[in-house]
Amino acid sequence: MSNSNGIVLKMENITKTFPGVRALDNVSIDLHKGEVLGILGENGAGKSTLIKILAGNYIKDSGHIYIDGKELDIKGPAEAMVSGIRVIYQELNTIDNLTVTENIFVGEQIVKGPLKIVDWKAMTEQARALLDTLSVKLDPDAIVGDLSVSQKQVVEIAKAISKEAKIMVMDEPTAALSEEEIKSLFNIIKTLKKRGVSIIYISHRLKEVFEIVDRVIVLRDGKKVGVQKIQETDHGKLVALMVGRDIKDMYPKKEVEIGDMVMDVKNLSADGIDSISFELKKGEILGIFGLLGSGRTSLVKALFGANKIKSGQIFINGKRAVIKDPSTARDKRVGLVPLDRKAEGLALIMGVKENITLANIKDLGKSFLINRKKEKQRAEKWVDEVGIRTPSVDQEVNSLSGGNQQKVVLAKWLESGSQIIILNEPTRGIDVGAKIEIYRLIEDLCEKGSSIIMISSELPEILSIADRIITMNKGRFTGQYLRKEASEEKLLQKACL
Amino acid sequence: MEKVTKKYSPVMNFLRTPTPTLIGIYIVMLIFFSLGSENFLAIQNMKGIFNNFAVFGIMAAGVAVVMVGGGFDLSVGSVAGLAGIVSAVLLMKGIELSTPYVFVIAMVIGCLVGLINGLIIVKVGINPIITTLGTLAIFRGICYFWADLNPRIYNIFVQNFGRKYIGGVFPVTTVYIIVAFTIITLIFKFTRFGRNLFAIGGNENLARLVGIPVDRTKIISYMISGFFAAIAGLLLISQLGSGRPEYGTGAELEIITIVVLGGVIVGGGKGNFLGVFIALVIIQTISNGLVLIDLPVYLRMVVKGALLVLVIAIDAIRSKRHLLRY
Repeated sequence: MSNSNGIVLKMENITKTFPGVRALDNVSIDLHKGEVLGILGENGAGKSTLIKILAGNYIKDSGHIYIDGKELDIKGPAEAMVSGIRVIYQELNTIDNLTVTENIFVGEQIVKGPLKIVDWKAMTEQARALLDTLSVKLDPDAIVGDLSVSQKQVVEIAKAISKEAKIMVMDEPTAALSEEEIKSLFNIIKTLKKRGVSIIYISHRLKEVFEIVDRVIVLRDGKKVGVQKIQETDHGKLVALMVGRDIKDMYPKKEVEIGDMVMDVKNLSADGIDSISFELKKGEILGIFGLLGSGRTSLVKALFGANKIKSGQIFINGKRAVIKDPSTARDKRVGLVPLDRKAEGLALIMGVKENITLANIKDLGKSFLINRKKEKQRAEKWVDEVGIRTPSVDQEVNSLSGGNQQKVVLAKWLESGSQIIILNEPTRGIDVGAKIEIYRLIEDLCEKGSSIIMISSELPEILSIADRIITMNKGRFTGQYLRKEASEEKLLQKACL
Repeated sequence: MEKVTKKYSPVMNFLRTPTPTLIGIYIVMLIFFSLGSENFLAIQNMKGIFNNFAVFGIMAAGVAVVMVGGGFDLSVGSVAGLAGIVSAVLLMKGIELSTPYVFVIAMVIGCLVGLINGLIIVKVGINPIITTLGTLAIFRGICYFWADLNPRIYNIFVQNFGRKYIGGVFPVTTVYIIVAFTIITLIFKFTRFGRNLFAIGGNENLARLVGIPVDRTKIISYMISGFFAAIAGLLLISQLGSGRPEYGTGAELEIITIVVLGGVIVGGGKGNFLGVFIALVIIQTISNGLVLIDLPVYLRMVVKGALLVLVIAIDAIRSKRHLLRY
């Protein structure tokens, strides 16, 4: 191996198997100096596993990693750090109650004198210099908890380059950013490139990939299925590679007859949302599109009684519904599939059965006792109808795949007879096959007379599945389109208003 | 990605708890004890073990309820002491309140104390370990109000309550344990309350979002724990023949050891009462065996502490392996 062709990193025939799952199968990549290499792939394609091996969080089963032509056996994060590998994870790792400077130098404070006293002045100056090289205006003394998501990300990038960084990995860096913030992130990436830093950019937003990436590698089911120079490829080619099937099969859309109004929300204001009004009809899928921080999750919480409503009214089937807590929402036949399935949707260490009947225990026996036989039958019925793949209803939910877990969450609300189901990012962290099943399930529900409110930040998904789409920003509705009128550009533009 | 899910079986589930490790260690220690002391397997000794079971077992049952719901209760030893000494005082010559009243008052004290714990934890939002650490000290302090009275128990019914042998052989305390564990197993398997408690321990956010009355359920769990501790207090004064302010001191450590070794996970959501029962039997016989082989007090503590860490460590290693499979 030689350094002459400017290859900074070479990962050769990397294989990683978890019992039952081959996460990476003979994947090889190379990265040139000052290059932005995109890694594309659906959830579960193996992107994160590859990165975790590079960062020393996982140990590879086989294969070789070369940095500057020298083989490196990465056994832990420390070795990766020393070799100049830096990872900016999607979930940022800033410490919120410390200042920007403290965050940048955490664990690596600059000290002076024989007593190794922390040199605050030098640290603040260096922090300022680092932020300057990234051309961002940020006060080194600001408390990180007060910053926006994108500013926190900048802090992490500054921290990463405070020590010599050779390779910077960014895992879905734009997931939580607005258009404008994405632009400034791209400027930072360009600055880093000029300084000779090589960047691995992981995303599934194709538009951005075309904007910033030099070369792209596509992974699917743990295998490398393509390497392309960005000038030599197009949107359709990449999608076909990622999905491995035609996009029409990806988003099956069933036309369902839309009926009378079931929910009417008038001037709803609550924490994070401001005078929201909309109607929902029987059999309809109403999509709500907004970026992170647009108030979409606040809206969901207000509708479901988890956040207090300040003013405004909700009517369900023509009658005024005062939803003061989740249990009244449930009694009004409203169900919620929350954003974070593991934190709010499931009791992971409990069984499929217990999770399905959770919201409807009252209906499982006349007195305070539970009819366990009835419970089992009901759970089995839903496992069957919703198509949850589990060896038995007693199986711990923990051991199911993301898609099957999501089906358990849905089954819980079906069991409690929900007519209006609110889905917050229903296909987040779910692999392609299961996504399609979830879409089918949602459409079946509509056909049977349920109504759906679907919050999503995945444009192709919302554009294909929703009958009507409302855009949201800063806690307000900013636009409304029928499916055939909407386009990615229109939605993004309105969502950033 | 294809996922291979392991076939579920109740046996596999049981094998995943710390109980099998515990049983393994137990068998080794049993052999050791019966070689080390000829009294260990004697009937008289076994009877004694059973009487001890009751005090700890009943408290452990209550604490297990709290812990399944994700809570923690360090105050049980003090609550037992408080209920015990108050009852003993009420039974003293000169007061001699009739026995049923005394029992009811003791149980009310237990529930009330649990209510206080629960309200502080749920409504004020203080961490349960801190809250019950505080109430542990408060209730124990209150016990010492009556320290000078040194009330002896002359009431025959109370004397018999924790000491009687049915037919001369079978300790009545065993019945209490069986009743306590049966009631709780039924609550957990067949009642809404039990199911809600597991859900809260499993994921409190979720429990709130599906409309489970989280606060009420948690408060009731602390009341159950207080109630059982009060019963244990009555057993203590019965078996020891007097009311002393220090009764039950340090019991919380042994009880939490039993509950955790029994497979109730700290943080809640998982646990079965068979496991807790087995852990109770094992810990108590080991305590007893350590006395019989004449191990000094400080070494007994070392052995019990080491046992806790060892079993949980083995369990942690096993579950790590288990988790890696997914």
